[in-house]
Amino acid sequence: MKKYLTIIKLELQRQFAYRYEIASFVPGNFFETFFTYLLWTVIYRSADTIRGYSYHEMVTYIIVGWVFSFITANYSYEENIAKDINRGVLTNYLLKPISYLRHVSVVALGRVGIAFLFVVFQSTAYIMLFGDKMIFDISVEMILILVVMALFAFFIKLFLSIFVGLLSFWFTEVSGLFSFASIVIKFLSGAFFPLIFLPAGFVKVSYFLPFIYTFFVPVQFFLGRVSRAEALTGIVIQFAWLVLLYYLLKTIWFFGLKKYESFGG
Amino acid sequence: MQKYLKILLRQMKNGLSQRMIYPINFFIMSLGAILQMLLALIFVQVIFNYVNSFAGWSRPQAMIIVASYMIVEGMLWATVAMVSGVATNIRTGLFDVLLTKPISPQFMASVWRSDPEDWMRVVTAMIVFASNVPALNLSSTELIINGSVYILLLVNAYIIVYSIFLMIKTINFWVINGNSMHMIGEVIIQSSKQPVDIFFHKAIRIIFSSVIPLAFIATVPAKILIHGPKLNLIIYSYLLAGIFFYISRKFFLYGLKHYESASS
Repeated sequence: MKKYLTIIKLELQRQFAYRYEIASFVPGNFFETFFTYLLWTVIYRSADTIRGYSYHEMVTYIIVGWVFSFITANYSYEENIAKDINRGVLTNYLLKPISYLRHVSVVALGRVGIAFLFVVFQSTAYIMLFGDKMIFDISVEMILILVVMALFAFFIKLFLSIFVGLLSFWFTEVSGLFSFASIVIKFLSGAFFPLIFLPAGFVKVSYFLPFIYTFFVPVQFFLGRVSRAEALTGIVIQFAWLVLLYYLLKTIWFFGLKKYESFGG
Repeated sequence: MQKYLKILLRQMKNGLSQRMIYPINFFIMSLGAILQMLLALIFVQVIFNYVNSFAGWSRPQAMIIVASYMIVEGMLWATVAMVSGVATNIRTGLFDVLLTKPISPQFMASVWRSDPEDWMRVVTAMIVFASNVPALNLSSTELIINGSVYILLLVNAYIIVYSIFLMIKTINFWVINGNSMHMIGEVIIQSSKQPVDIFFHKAIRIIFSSVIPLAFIATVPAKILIHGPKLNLIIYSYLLAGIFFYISRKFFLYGLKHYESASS
């Protein structure tokens, strides 16, 4: 356990070494959310409700969705893993008394610590700016369920990212797959726009995929559009996907290592 | 001038050759570029399923704005990869090599990298453009005149966005790793795929028409195409393109003085 805490500590230190870089992400995030908010504000000038969503619900969707998305984000781990494999750096990790996959996961936890600080800061700013246009009907039970959903969503995204990265055992260049996968995941999670705007059949199928539980379902639960029972079912599906992805990663890792070749020392 | 054009084409050819070393990856990247554009279009379509107009723009007009933005963005990625070469060369110390060449280091760093898969954005945009122009009900004469001015303004839009990103990348002379600044620039520029009329606050609209001229990236060219040339907008577009290019060049040269090589 001590070694993992050390990794987290080192990652936090590394992140603080680039504090300017990290702080510079704040205005970018703010602008992105602000423009989205402006967009929907203009749209709602022509309609009171859109697909059953009121203006206040849409603003809440944007802000709460951003919070959830930000704290569950992973930061190009697939790219880092691909580099480790392609450059032979992976060999160093194989010699160490630590699982590489666990190492990546722990580094990700370290990074999310920094993200969490920024979420607190930016959320406060958003509530001050948009609070009167949002819906707040929260309870301790809701927060607990959302925390569990956020935790599972974080690991689902992380495992998907690791999965794409591990494909580098077989493909030298996977940068195209990274960007394609991230666009698809973002779309299927409802981050571009609420999935209810899409055909009902499409949304129904999406409920069996893990992506919808990384954005859309948690936000729907926050809005009270998903019941507690449905949210708990969502958590069960998230857990099932986590288990599936975990064993998928173990399998890929097993077969990938057999194929792995490293040059140099 | 011919030399610069030759080098630009050669660099673009190199970019394509590099991508084609991994053809499947290149194919997936092209698909990704198309998908991104399609999602932007789906979003516009979704909006217009519930409203008749968006900030005063009809559906085909809004699609023209999106297509205009996509053309400019696609061209910038396809030709100069949003000036990423400047940041890469600063970070890796390869600027030393560029400085020894008998050609503008700004030009060489700008064309250092191109992303040929992003021609798919331009192609997709042109298809969207072509499929929505008939709905504008322009006569042949209007189409030729408005269309010609529209193309000229898109060239200005290219120059404006290039200049903005050159200034952003020049910051790398001081901070070395300025990825976050690129993100800020991208987020702001991407908002120009919506009509600038969404900024209902007058002060914000003025800022995004002059200080950061988002209006002149897609909204104004689309306006000219739809409603005909307006002399003040055309002059302003050229002025902004000239001013931004001049400022970005000066800033780049200033940044160059602070360059420290990363190599021995």
